[in-house]
Amino acid sequence: MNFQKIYQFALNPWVVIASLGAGAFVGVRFPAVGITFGFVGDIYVDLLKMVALPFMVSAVIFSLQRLFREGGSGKLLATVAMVFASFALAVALVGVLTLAAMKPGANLPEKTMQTFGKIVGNDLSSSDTVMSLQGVDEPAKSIKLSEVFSSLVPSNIFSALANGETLKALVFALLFGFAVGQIPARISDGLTQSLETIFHCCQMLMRWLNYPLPIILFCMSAAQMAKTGVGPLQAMGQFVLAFFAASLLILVMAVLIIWKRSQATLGKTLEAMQGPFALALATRNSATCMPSMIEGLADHLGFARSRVELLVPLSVSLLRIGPMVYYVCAAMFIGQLYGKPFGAVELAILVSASVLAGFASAGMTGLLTVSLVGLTCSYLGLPFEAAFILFLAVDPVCDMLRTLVLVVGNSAAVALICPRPLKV
Amino acid sequence: MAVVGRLKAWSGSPLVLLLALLGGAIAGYALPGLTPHYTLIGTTYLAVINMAALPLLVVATIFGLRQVAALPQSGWRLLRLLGMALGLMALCALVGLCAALLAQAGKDLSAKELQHLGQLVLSAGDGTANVEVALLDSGTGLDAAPPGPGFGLNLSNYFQSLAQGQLLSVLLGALLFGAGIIAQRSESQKALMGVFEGIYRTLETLISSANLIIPLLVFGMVALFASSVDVDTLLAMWSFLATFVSAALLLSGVAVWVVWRRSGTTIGAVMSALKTPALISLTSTSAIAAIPDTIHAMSSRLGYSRGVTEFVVPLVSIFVRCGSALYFSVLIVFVANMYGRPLGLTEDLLICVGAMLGGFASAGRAGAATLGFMGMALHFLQLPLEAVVPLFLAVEFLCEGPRNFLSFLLACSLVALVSDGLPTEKAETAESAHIESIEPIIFTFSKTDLAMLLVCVVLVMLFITSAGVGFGMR
Repeated sequence: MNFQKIYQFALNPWVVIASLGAGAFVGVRFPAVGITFGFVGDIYVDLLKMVALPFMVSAVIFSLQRLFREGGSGKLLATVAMVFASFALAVALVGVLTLAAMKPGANLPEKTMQTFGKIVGNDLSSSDTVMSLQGVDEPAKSIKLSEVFSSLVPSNIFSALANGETLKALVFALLFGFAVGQIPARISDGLTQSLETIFHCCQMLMRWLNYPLPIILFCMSAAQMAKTGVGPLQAMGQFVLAFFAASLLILVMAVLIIWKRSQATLGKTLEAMQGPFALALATRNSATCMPSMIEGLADHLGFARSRVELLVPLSVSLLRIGPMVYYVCAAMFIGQLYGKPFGAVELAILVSASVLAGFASAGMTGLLTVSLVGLTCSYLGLPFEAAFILFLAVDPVCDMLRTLVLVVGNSAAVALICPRPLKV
Repeated sequence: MAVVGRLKAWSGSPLVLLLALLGGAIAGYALPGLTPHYTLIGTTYLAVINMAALPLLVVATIFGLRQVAALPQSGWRLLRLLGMALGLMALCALVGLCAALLAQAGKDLSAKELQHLGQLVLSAGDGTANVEVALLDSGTGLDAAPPGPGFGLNLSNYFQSLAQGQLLSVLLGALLFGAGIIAQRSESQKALMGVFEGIYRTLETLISSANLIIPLLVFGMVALFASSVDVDTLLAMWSFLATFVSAALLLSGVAVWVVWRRSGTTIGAVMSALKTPALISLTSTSAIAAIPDTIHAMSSRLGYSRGVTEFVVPLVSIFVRCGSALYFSVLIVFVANMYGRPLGLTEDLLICVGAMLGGFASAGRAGAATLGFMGMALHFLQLPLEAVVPLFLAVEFLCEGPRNFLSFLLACSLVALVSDGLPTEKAETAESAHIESIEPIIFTFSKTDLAMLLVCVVLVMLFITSAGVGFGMR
């Protein structure tokens, strides 16, 4: 019981902001002290990375297999796949368009750009192991889509895992998951149970890693501020603004879809979505919103309950539109900071990598979700590692938006897959 | 599921493959500029197959070892398996040698042909053959490090061997680990074996799903070949190709005969069971693509022990590449003849040993990468390797299929030879299942049928009446 309280305290947005602020204060006032705290953050990031890879692989295989098991007949499966794919593409495009229109990373004061560039740029030269291992080496001048395509499949999965090539491991997990779904349950049960154990174990590890979060955040922000000052945070303000705009756009679209599908009045639709909305803001955890989503869709709007109960958990764990749009925005923001031009090929890579990364974030929460921005960035040849703390600094806000988009957007997806409610 | 079944029948049908072949040839000949696009799907397919290969090898070895150990006389069987694998390899090398010596491959090339080959070698430096090498190399073959001292054996860190794709170490580790598992009580190995079986079946499913796109691969490969081939080279290499392919066909015939004699069914049944895996091995340019279908054909359809099949087929198709041994021995004789080097008994022996070693060393690799292993044997005969590589690269496409085909068939015959005295495990065949489920015959009449019937009855009545009238009037 006591642990529960500590956990809630550690994840409380105010505590997060307070510890970040305290760290920033120490870092700015006593830079020499602040910099010595840096190693704590490094260890913590390494721990996150350690959990992330097995977490991702087991989660993807496990959830894909569940999709095949519980997704039922072929027709429903096809509909689900189509709606998921089009939703993922649509939100990624909304993210791209918003960022391209608002250009949060382009019109920054010269000084901010410089400091920002310095922290992020340093990272490329300083041999940060994870970064250099994770990336495709130097950003090629012109990336060919066909090359990217064939480089996605790992020729040796063990070497991909050993080198931390996240995207390759993800492709393997996807293919493997599809194949596991095809073999009889009698044979795959042992494997499924093992994977489930690993999956839950990783979730538990992440939970434990959350306990010391206030201290970690304090140390990280102290070290970061001591190195760079407050300047970069202003740039992050622009990013949050752009992300907020993209999220708002998606939320409006999602509500419109639910409204049209449910054939209820707009007021009634909003009322039904009120529960999930409030819960998403309060808990920032999509899993806890599921009962409320089911209640809103089935009881208030009259969608078939059995279908809703099947689809809501499935879509919450597989259709990660919140993280997807976040990855698109974050990668484009970093790209704009760098003045990297986004051509058609780059945009295609950005969208597909973000959709994949969103998929990879199945079951992840908080910090781990943010760390996957690196996956998208590395494929575009952009550095991310050093900016991690900056994204963490604004994450209390972004996490709320992500969860909100995920919960409301998934309700829209479920509403689209379910047959229209019967009017009595 | 029904869709997948139909797709499988479609992609496995010889007609579709033939169409893909023709289409590829036309496309490659007419629009050679588009070749990189044609091969995109093919290279992705090979990458997927290779991705599944290494885990499959590990899991299949451990899993199969356990199944073989459960059979009677397992130790004796394993020993015999090893001996026979070596024997088959030696046989292949020997047959290749004899065939090439008999056919005098490469001996009487005309001056013009020699000149053309010389030009090909010279021009190889500036990239005519490089395109093909790059395409054949990318994705094909595991990223194995070249065998250094001790054949790249590294048992100190198994994960490192896996990551670096050192096949020999991986195999040895898996064998040792598997032996250790077998020594446990059956309850304590149960959970782990369940997991391994799940992974094993999954990888099998993955490979056989990927095999659905083989026609596209054939299309791309043929297009690549058609866009880069030139007829003079083919003519000059003709004696090599003819010798190799006919020797491979001869040995394949022997292998099929062995499988047939041991299976106790008709030759027709053997042929029809082996058709699908044979087509896959012939066209996929991968040694392991045919594994799932081979296991199915050998155990479910021909009744060989499933345990033995599951152990032997993956191992043999990755490690005992009999087709490669044959290929290498023909190749060395051809080169020696081309350079006019006389071959005595010692040289012949050397060629045999070199070809066998090359066959083992080429384990897990495909395409042009295997050619590098000929360096040693050619070096002993004081023949240059670098000079002749472009020649064989030019015809590599034509040799890959027969090589894999032969390796596959010899793996089948190995299964047949080792699994004597084991009960048949033939699954209920389609025909026998069909007899039980004969549907009751139902007569149904449509309106037209009824009308026809009515007309017939009326006609017959008329006929009888008129016959009666006629009879009475007589």
